[in-house]
Amino acid sequence: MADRILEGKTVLMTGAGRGMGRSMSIALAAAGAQVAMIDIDADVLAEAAEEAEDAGGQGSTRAIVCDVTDAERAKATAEEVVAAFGSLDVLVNDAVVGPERIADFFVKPAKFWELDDGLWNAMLRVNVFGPQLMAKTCAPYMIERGWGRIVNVTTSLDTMYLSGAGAYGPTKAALEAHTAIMASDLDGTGVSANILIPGGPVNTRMIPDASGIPREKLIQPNVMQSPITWLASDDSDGINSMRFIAALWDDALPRDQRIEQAGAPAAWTQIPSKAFYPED
Amino acid sequence: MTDRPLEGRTVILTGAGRGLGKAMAEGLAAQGAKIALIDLDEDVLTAAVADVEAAGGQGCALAVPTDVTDKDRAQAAIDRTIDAFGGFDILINDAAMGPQFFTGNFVEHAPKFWEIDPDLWHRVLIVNAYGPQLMASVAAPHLVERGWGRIVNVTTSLDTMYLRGCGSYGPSKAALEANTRIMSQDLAETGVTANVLIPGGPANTRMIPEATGFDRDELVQPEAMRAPICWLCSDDADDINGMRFIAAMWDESLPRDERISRAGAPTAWAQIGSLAQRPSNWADTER
Repeated sequence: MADRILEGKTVLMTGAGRGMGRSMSIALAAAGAQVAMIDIDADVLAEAAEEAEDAGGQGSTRAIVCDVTDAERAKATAEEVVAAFGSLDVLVNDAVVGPERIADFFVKPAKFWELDDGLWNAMLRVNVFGPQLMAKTCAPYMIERGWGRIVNVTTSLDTMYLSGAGAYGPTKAALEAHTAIMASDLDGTGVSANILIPGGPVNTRMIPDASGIPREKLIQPNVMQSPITWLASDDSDGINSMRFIAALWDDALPRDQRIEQAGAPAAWTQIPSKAFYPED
Repeated sequence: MTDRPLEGRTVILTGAGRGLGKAMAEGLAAQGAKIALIDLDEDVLTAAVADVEAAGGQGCALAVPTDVTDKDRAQAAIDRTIDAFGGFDILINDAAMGPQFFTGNFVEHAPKFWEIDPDLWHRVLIVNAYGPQLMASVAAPHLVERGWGRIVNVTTSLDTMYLRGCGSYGPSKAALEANTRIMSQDLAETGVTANVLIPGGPANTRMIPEATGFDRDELVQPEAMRAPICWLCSDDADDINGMRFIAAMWDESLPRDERISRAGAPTAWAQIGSLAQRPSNWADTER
């Protein structure tokens, strides 16, 4: 705990019980942040919060069971965080219904017409509406203080149209686009909205063992730790509407080079296919 | 009606009551297709059937009031089309809730994401992204079995997908764009294709309220969709899969290849070339 650059900042992390959300929570706590950890699974959450508290020190974390698509619970959660920690400065939307929920994912990829409609819709609700609801609930606290971060975890641009993963890719495309909208809306408020992705399949439950891929060849969840800590810090002031690839993030590089190597504009603004608007 | 190249084809068209959907239905009917017109609003649907029959002849249009997000009704609509016309060949997903549901004038007043009613935001996402998925998943087995077919999804301009002030409209279209690319992969080699057709800018429909102050004549006219949708539904587009076409750039006077390269591009954002870093044996797994 040599460098507690996030001292005084409060983070709300969704999907904090496992995988990347848990890994990011540990790093943020270790960097001095107070971390409110949200998940729907109380047991894994309690365990994860203990682990993050070991990294951050006593009282640095708070486990809150919350369904990110429940407006009442989201509101109550934000209020609880502010009451406990005094502010809500950073929201990381990591909670997701992943493709591992599709039967035989990776073993026998389903065609789009074989997918379960309820699951398709649940992915849309949790992966797109959930982040919007959490952001809508948390943003006013940040805007009032004139500083804040919203970080949405999407996926690699080509995974957005990965066949066999059901609605997973399309939901991430929607969240990617929506992050750019959030960034526009937040312009000038001191609050930013950016994207952080691992950069490829990660060693989490999202990639089942049945895939046959050796776990060590996957990207490890801890690649998220350094870039999320930077994004939550004052050093990323001025960074808005960007996407960062954690696997390309290199702390050894100077700031500008680091940003250039791992960063790009959010969404697909590089493609010059623009809508025609009537001339003013 | 000398040139009726779509004679013998049957189209299921959602959002057919107004705007782009109705203009496409008229264009397709004029070329000989039979059309099942799907919309939520029975009154506009009745009026639309009369206009489509005026373009294509009596009996070419069938009104099927349906909520495209209701699985039982989606299935019933498809069954009814098969009963009436003996089958169908083409699904066009045009039904959508537009930006006008979030603001009467997105030019003057662009509501921020934290000001928008969550239920509306979610509803638009369901109608615009899940609706087409549901219709396509119910329709695809029939098309695949026949060995020829089309799914055409109407999304939006790439930069409209992240246009502020329009709630979940843009994000819902980004999801549909990505899903079209998935559909096209899943349909490879089946004789059925999945493509995107967009107008290419704000169109002269109720989606762009009068209050926005745009000169209606300068907006993309719904009729711009007709020529490219008729072509996409014809045998001439048999080899076109996983593409997006901009109707406003479609020029019938050009030779086929030039027409395609001018108005067409791959679906989604594959041109950016930012790819996931995958383990070397990823491709070897049976995905």
